[in-house]
Amino acid sequence: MTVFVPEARHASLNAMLLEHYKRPHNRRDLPLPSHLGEGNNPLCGDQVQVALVISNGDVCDVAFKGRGCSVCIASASLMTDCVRAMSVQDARALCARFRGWTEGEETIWTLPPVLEPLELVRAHPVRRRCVTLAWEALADALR
Amino acid sequence: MNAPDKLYPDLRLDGIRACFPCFASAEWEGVRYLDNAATTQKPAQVIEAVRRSMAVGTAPIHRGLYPLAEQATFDYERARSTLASFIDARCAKEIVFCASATDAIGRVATGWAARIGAGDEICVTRMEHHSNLLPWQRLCRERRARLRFIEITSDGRLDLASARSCIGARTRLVALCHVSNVLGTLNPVPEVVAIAHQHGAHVLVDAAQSIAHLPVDVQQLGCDFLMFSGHKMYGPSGIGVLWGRRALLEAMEPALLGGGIVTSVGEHSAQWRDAPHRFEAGSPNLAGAAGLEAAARMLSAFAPGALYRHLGQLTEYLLDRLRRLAGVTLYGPTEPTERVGIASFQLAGIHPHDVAAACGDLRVCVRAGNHCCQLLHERLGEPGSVRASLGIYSTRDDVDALVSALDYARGQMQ
Repeated sequence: MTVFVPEARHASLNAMLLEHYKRPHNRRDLPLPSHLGEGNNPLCGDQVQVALVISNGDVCDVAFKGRGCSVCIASASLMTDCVRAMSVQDARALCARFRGWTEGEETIWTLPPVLEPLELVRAHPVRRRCVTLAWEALADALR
Repeated sequence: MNAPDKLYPDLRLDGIRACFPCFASAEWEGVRYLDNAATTQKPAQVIEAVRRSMAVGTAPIHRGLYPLAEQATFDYERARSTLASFIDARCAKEIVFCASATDAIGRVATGWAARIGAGDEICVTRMEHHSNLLPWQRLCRERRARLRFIEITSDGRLDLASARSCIGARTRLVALCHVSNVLGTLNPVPEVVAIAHQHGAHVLVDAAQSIAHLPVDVQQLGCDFLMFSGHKMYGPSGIGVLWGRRALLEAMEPALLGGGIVTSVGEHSAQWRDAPHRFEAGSPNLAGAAGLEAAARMLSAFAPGALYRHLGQLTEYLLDRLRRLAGVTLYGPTEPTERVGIASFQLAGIHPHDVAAACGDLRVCVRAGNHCCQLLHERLGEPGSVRASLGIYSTRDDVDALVSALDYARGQMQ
């Protein structure tokens, strides 16, 4: 599903995405992860690895590494901000809903505010895979 | 086909851009279209030929017994003859209309499969588009044949020494592109044909990337099969050509079965018509054939080699401008005479997707990704690249706009 994003909002969301690309949050090694996951897109060679520390059913810490385009890295950065301190159950549900949302299936679900810059991807469906790669890695880690 | 063409009485290369409505449209004013290796814009003459075919040329061909059907049949078969002349085929019966080059390769792979057996070999090159790789992978898997790869040199040329060592007594087919859709490399097809024929192997040439830029002459190339798509030569999409030597086509099974391909049908078997009709089951793409004919006539209206020289000069300019940019790594042969119309490259530190998206902000259309050549990109050591590809209407201004867009991309992303 392609959605129209007004120009001014487009520019502001784009600026936020670029900020997350240039200075991504939680792009680091996690010394003692309890869970690891990976997402690969062989068509463009992008890869994201997600590391989690899960304790008592909660995501206590989250980090990512990998290579990708600006959208891929920004999405990974935003994802780590979003799932930190979430319960594993909620994080799994978020992964599923987010995936549905990028595919245009979740029409009534609204993005958590922290993920708003990712709205842009719905105006550029060709970059859907760029935005979902980190989420695939997260889902893999939560499996 | 080199006499003045009444469809294109005053065609000149320097005025060709005016024939393409996209560039004069309000929607795409100022667009710099440099994605011609993916698909090309359509000139007014092609659009008119398609419109005319749909408006006053629609009838069931080869069967209708009334004037409208006879006219439609005449138009369709004339298009076939025009395409035959366009590539110097011996006769129109060697021209099979199909949906695209991809479709044509699939038809050879399916129709020709019977002669491939266990232990036989098919050779492809490291630079093939997936459309000229996947059908052979499957065929080799199914027939327990062996797929071999002719390697490329470090500067992106076909390695003839590798071709000599790959092609041998067991080789049944060599499948290669005339021009690489990533490197722009113009492959030495006659040399490869000589090696293959020496061993009794047939040669299939994917001319999708050369057909719009070079005089493609099947006699000069010496190959056995050749194919191309309409939409990459300023014609419509959904139409392409499979050319094959007549004896080979007559020995080939049709991949698609249906109406119009038989001389008689019994309860358990049928007799195929001669080529090309046995390969054109169902109602054909009349408007596509008309549009493709108009495109071939446009390309034939120029003096032989004029397009190649024009594209060659512009390719040289493109390569030169890119080479002067800091941080650009260019792939492919350094000699402009060994490549045509395509430049794939990396811009240091910026993902190809981001380069293409930033260029898009300035209406400069380039492609990013592996361009359906994953194996080639593995060989190049990068999963993807940015590709700028020229067309008949491309100008130095387009190239300059690309260079500015790359500066802009760097500013945005770093």
